[in-house]
Amino acid sequence: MTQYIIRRILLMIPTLLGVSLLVTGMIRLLPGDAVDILVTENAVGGGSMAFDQLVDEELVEPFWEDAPSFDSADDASFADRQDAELDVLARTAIVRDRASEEGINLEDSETRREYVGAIPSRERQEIRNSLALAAYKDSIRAELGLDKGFVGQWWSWLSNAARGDLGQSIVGSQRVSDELGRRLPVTFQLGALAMFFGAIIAIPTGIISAVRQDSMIDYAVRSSAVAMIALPSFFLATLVIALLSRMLDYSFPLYYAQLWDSPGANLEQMVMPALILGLSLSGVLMRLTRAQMLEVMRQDYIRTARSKGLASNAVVTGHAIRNAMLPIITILGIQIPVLIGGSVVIEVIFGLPGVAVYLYRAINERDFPPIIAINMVIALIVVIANLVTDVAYAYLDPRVKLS
Amino acid sequence: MSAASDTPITGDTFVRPQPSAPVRAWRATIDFIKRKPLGAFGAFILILVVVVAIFSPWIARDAIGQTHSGDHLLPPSSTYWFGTDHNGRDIYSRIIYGAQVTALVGAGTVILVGLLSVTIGLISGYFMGTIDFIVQRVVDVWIAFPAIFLILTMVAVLQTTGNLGILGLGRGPDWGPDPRGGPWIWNTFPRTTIVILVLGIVLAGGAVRVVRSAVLSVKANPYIEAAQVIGATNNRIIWRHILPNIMPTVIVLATVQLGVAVLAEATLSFLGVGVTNFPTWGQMLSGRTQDLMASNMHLGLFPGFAIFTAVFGFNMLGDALRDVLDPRLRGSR
Repeated sequence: MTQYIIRRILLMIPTLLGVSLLVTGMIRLLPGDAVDILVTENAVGGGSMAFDQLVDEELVEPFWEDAPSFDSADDASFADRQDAELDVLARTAIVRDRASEEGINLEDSETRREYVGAIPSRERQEIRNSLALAAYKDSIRAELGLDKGFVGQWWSWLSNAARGDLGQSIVGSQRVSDELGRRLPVTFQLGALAMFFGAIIAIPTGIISAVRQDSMIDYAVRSSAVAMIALPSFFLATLVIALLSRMLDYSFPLYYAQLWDSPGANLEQMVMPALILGLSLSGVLMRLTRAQMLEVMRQDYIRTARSKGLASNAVVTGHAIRNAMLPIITILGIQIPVLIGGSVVIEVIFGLPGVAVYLYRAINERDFPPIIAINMVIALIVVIANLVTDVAYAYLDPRVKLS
Repeated sequence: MSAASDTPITGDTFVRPQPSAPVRAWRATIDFIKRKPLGAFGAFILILVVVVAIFSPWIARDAIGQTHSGDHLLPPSSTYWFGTDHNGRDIYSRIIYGAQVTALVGAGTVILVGLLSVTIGLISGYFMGTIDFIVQRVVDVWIAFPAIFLILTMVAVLQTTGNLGILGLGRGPDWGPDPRGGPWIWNTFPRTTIVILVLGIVLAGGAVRVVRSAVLSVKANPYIEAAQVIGATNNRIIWRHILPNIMPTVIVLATVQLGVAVLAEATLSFLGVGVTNFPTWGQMLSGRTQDLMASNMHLGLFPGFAIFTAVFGFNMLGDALRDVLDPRLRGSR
């Protein structure tokens, strides 16, 4: 057993490395990044002020050999400084493209300055702004380590994560580990409540359905199980919110109440989302419970119990349910990824500050550190849950040998 | 040979005349309807969605995006069968057009899942060894986290508008025909393709496992060993013996995945990352509908029931097909 657990934990390492590679790789393919969203034209202030400032901070480097150095720009005469600016503008793609279209050679400094000087000041301003913006963005990217390339970015993330540092959100600038610490309990609570509701709906109905196989009850349970699977949770949630508001004039609170601050308010706003999530989970659970129960009912010892004259109820409660419960409990463990996946929509609709909605927002904002961290944490939870399920099953059922 | 054996057998024989192929197909269909009425209902829903999708420009009453100024948020009436939305658009027409997205994304995803899972599952299950170990570790990663997370991340990656994206796919509506140019979903080609690609790739992960286990159980049959003994090539064994025998599993898998794909597409549209430039059922439930639903129930009821009916039907069909074609899979999922 110990050996098996150790081997499973060792097998988790390549899986988690694979997940981190996959997520980092996908994010590298994103065309825009958070910097593009963060830095709008307005953020730089626009205008020559920003451009001058960037020149002073040496973010925009001098490109031409005969351009005067910007270190001496402060001492240089106004005319020199203006010339330098014209040189920088002449280097931009917009101006070069325009010049080459018109067949003008910008190599010569006199023609160059004359040509750029002739560009209307409004257009020159736009070019300046775009140049300043690009330089500003590059400086931020360098600061955040976004310019390091795929392997570099992945490695630095991995080495930081190994030390418990999951990085910092680019957009919100809060630490990802703090944010996850705040949000994970919300998702856990939602998931646990949903699991509870799902189980108390699905397990009794699934058992009854199996015991009364091919009866009307069985057909009703099976049909409603498929209906639960087919009913989109976002439709159910929208419907519930609308009906509550229509009939009881009730609306869900806008702000999330912490469980330990005000348990009553917290439960009030958590029960309905959890019930909806639990309902959509109960469809799959019902079917699995029924299948498991039928499997047990086919066993020889059930026939023996019946043939020795035991009452039908006693057979079901004393022999069948006891033996079916074990696999049913492990089935609950397998549903954890389904639950976490389902909570995306529920958290979005009910405005719960959970992990799933955090990922949804981070993806929309191209905020890489949270995207990688959340995917990793979720993958870790799922892999550990699978391991715990397998081990618990083997521990509870002596017939199962893990190898 | 003697003349006697050449004469056709006539008169009282034990050979029952075989009915022709169409007659047999018809009888099988009737038999299926009798034995699995709910499955037949599912098949009817499937056919209905496809027919509505194909003929939607003629069935719908309005052109795409047509608004009726002044007729905002009207309840269902004889003019607007399902009422109008906050923009004054006919909800009935939008649902009819939405069937195109459901049908195309559903079919495309299922075909992609089928191709990917059969190819990978066959190779992994038939050849075993190192290749199987590697494939199974990749599948571990594939299904290690919730599908919706992977789908959201991938769609965001592929769909970022503005810049190039991958293979020009991220360019969105400005690439290819103008999506407002006609009543057909393929006018929104890049976005629909992205949704199909992502759903297909993500959902194939679990399907690989199912196909692999089917291949393993077919491989254990003595006729495979016999074929190997008489020197049949791997190619021949795969094409002639394994593939036909895993087909029932693949068909059941495809039907079950159809419901999953349609539900996932609706969820993506609801979250605003699916097909955005064409009416879809999921999209009709998002945005303003969330705020207006309480006083205008018809806004969300009709698209919601459309999704529900379609997915319910597909799942019922999948269950019935599973019972008929592949009892081994019963109770899985």
